[in-house]
Amino acid sequence: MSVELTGAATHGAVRGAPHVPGPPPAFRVADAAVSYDRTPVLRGVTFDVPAGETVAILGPNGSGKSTLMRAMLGITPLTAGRVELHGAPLRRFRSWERVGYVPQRLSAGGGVPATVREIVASGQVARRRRLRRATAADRAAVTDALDAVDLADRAHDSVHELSGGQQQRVLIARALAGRPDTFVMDEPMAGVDSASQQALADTIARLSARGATVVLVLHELGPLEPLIRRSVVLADGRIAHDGPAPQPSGACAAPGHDHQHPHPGPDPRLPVAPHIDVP
Amino acid sequence: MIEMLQPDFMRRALVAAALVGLVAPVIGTFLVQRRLALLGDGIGHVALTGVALGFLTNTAPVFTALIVSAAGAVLIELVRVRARTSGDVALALLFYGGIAGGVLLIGLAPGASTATLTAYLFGSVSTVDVQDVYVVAGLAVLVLGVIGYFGRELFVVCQDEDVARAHGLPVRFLSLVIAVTAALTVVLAMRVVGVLLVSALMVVPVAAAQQLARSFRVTIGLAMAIGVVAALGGLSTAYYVDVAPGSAIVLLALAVFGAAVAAGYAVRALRARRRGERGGGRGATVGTMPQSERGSVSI
Repeated sequence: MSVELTGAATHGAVRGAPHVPGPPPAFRVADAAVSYDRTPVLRGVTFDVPAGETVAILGPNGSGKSTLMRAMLGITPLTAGRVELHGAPLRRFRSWERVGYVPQRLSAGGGVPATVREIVASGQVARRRRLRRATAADRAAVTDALDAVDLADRAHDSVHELSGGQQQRVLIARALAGRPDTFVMDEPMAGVDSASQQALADTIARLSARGATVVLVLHELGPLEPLIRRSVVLADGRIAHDGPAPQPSGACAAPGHDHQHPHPGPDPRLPVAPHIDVP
Repeated sequence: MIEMLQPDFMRRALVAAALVGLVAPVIGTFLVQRRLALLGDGIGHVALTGVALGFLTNTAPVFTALIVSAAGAVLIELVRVRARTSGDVALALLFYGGIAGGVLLIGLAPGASTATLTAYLFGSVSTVDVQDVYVVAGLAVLVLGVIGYFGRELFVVCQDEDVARAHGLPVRFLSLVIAVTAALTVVLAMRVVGVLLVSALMVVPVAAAQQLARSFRVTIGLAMAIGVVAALGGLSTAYYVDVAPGSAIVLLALAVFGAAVAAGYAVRALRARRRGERGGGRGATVGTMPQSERGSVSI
């Protein structure tokens, strides 16, 4: 169990006294396996994400990190094992308003226009009752979410008119609008320019400081590095490393370094960590 | 203009056509967003099997068409999910099965022939009776009710099924809601514009509206308006010029689409210039291809 490795400040007190039961972990993944067409993509993955922790799931393309994330949300069914969300098995989990999912990109669909505000407001679908109009609090949450990603001035533009980075911010705002306490983000930095990356990192840092659980699927840590005390590194469908984030060294550690190349050999300081950057 | 409203059949036809023009684009918007624009047409072909079944069993054809096309709509969702076929292949299977079933069954029905099906293929708005108008009105209320009730969830499902699942929405059930509602709409529109042109009224007004609108809500509203205008305009044209009403309605809707494409270019160019003058902010990318993934990133 990796709980000891992380030392997340938020739950330190609870962990110090093992006889006092804390809240159930946000995610408990036990022996999870997923196969597509009988080809195993994920096998025997076991780990917990305690409530309030910020965890990065890293790994090269094809390592199963996206599949793991999808399985954790019930988007992809498990072929074996179990996933629990806040103490309830996925099948019986009902508090979906606690979960905010940020997909890798905005799906274009058939191209029917939708405004930024419409998309962001749709993030409240799990917490709003049918046939009820939006309350003042609902609308305020949407406005706050737009402010948080600095898109308030584009609220009435069609999302298809935005740049890739702006669309990414719309997706994050959509997750924020439901006011969840558990976030799952799939490559939130992909295609986002460096100025916006820092703004996004700050938003995620605020969520984390507020006690939210944040699970990030990432190619590389980038500007999120200071936030992440624990990384789960996947390789070939298994967990290859679970603990403090692998530290880049040498030229790769320089600020602003763009991970475009494979490392020449295993990092000598972290022999258990596989390559996490992708050519 | 008033003279057109004198004959009873014309008044009934206008009411029925307006209702179809109002309702078809509503469900059509969700189908277009789901990339199932041709679903209506596929279901229409299956409805033919239902019509033939009605003649064969001496039951009201609209009723059997309703049952069979709803079953077809459920089937297409199952094929899409279970049989590893993409949506368009599933649709093709439905097209061929529906038309083959219809022709086969109508041949077995005594006193009916493929000519009997023609009225349903192309619609026969002039023979719409009072009961038809009530049926159409009832179905219209039902369709609008379903969309009003599930609208928010359907929006999310049509936008991104994965996101819908991560919100805990019953994606499969909602997909069936869309498919069955589309089936209801097809049957409701069948008598007016005919099976072959039903899908057009579900899709063409939406395609026109999305050239001009920036929001989903406005797209639906505009598509409904275009649908009603096309239905009433096409029917009036058919009355005065003596052409097939279904064709006149659809061609008018297509003309509106053409005008909307041109207007859309102008509107976007204007918006981009205004944004440029405001300073900052990049101009909107102009595109009329609704399928193109503007602003998406490749990594």
